[in-house]
Amino acid sequence: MHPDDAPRPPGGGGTAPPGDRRWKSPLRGPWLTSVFGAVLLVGIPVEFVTGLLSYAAYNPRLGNPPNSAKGIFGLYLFNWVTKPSWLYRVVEGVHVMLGLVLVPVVLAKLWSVMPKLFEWPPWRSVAQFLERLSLVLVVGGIVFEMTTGILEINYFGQINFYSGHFYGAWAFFAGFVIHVCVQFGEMVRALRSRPLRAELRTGLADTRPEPVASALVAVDPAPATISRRGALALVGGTSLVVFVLTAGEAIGGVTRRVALFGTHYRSPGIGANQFPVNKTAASAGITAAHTGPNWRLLLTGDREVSLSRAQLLSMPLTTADLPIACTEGWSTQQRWTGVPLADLARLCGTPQPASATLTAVDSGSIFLSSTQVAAPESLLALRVNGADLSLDHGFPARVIVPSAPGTHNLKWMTRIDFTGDA
Amino acid sequence: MRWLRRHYGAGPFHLVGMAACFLVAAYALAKVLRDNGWEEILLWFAVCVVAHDLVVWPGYGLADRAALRLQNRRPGAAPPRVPWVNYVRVPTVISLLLLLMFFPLILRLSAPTYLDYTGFTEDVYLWNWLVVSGLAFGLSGLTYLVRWGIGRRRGPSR
Repeated sequence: MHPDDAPRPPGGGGTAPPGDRRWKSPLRGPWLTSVFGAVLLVGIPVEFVTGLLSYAAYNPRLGNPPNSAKGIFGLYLFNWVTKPSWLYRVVEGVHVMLGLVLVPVVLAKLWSVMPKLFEWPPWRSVAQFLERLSLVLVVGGIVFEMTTGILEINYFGQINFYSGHFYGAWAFFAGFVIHVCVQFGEMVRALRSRPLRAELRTGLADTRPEPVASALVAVDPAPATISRRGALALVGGTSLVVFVLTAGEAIGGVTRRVALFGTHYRSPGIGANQFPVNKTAASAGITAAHTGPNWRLLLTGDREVSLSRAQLLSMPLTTADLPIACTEGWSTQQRWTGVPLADLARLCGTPQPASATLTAVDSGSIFLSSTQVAAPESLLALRVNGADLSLDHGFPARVIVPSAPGTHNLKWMTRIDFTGDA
Repeated sequence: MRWLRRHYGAGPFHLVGMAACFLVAAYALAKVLRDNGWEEILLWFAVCVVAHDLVVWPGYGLADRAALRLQNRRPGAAPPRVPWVNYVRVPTVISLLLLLMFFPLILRLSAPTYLDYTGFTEDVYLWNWLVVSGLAFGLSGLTYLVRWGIGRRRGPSR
């Protein structure tokens, strides 16, 4: 006998509160909600951890932006690593792409629990009142995190993103942990009540409401117009479409061309310099006057050294395959050739600096840690894929640091200050 | 302990957990408010709540009911041999979700910043969206026709 064939108790079940007859979908019920919940139970911790790692990658303790007062939320911060060189690329790619893929699941989960929002009376004890209040954190938090994140990668950010998204994540995660603690047993019970494999074999004709007493199950359901497996396929399929249309800008290669809703699925430039740009030379106000034959790189440490591009090119050069990975999730790996930052530090008498301050022609400025300066693959890049850098990619010279966020790979370099002794 | 159960409604762990949760949230809120005005944050939440609870959710609910009514037009009459509503639902969900997620690109709302950051104009996304939506509706319609054809050849089933 199919579990759904069990006779339904009249009035929606003995102990269930007298339900609202306006809820019609026969699909809503603890099992369906728990399936979406189980997906989010895996996805959201991954989002939280990759988000924290991504923030740590900025080395905010060195004074790098985003440099808000982190308080106890900054206690976990550690000196960001340079190995493996793809770490930041993977962490941020997973964070952004998984976040986008989870949007249909979150909306489906919200749809599935909508009757709870209108439950009456709203609470029967102080404990239940607090639980519902914590749901404001969960629902408000996930929507806040999704909207701030998505608008930011679409260059349509409206509030201080780094602060909002970071602290919002903590508030949301606090609510999420409590929500999981309160509901975990219920979720496991509901998932066990209907084996997934049996559900995937159940077509529309056999789709009935879940025969359990729950505020989620419709008291007066309409006939099913889609099976549960159909609803799951709709949600999963939509997530798959989102993945195909965005993930290519993090994966790269031919997949980039189908990332039709990624911001960096097209590559400007020609030849060796044809790969996505973050911030064009024109937008940064870089002209030939800044980068012509008079350009010099100023190095300061124990002594000052000023180098022309020809002098830099005459030094021992290193070639490395390193990614540029942006906070917005897109990334691209290229073959860079240039002078190791450690050699430049030695040149001005500071072989083991505690930190380095990078300054660009457009007065952008970034702090690197001693680990980042010492990494053999941290380069002042002069060439890419065998050709001179194009202006958009930072000619005359740009910095590229393994596993650093893209914004730390400063273009149009003009000065490096090595300070202290590590 | 029994006092707690009767007056609070749950055990001590529940109370401690809730307290910790709200403590963390309050601290995070205080931190956010240092960098953003509270009006901005409040407005953001209000817009999200209104957008989901009063626009998106009732919107798709009403549209879905309208589609179902259209499919089962004559009350009492037999529904179409192959119900078509899911062949409309699927491409509509895909198309509208893409619009919801990428409207700043599709409607060119972030055009100047986008140009600065990528070196391209934002014009292409409207076409991308139309092409993907067209493909979704086209493939769905094609699948429906195939199902309908199979159903016809098999004759009236059930």
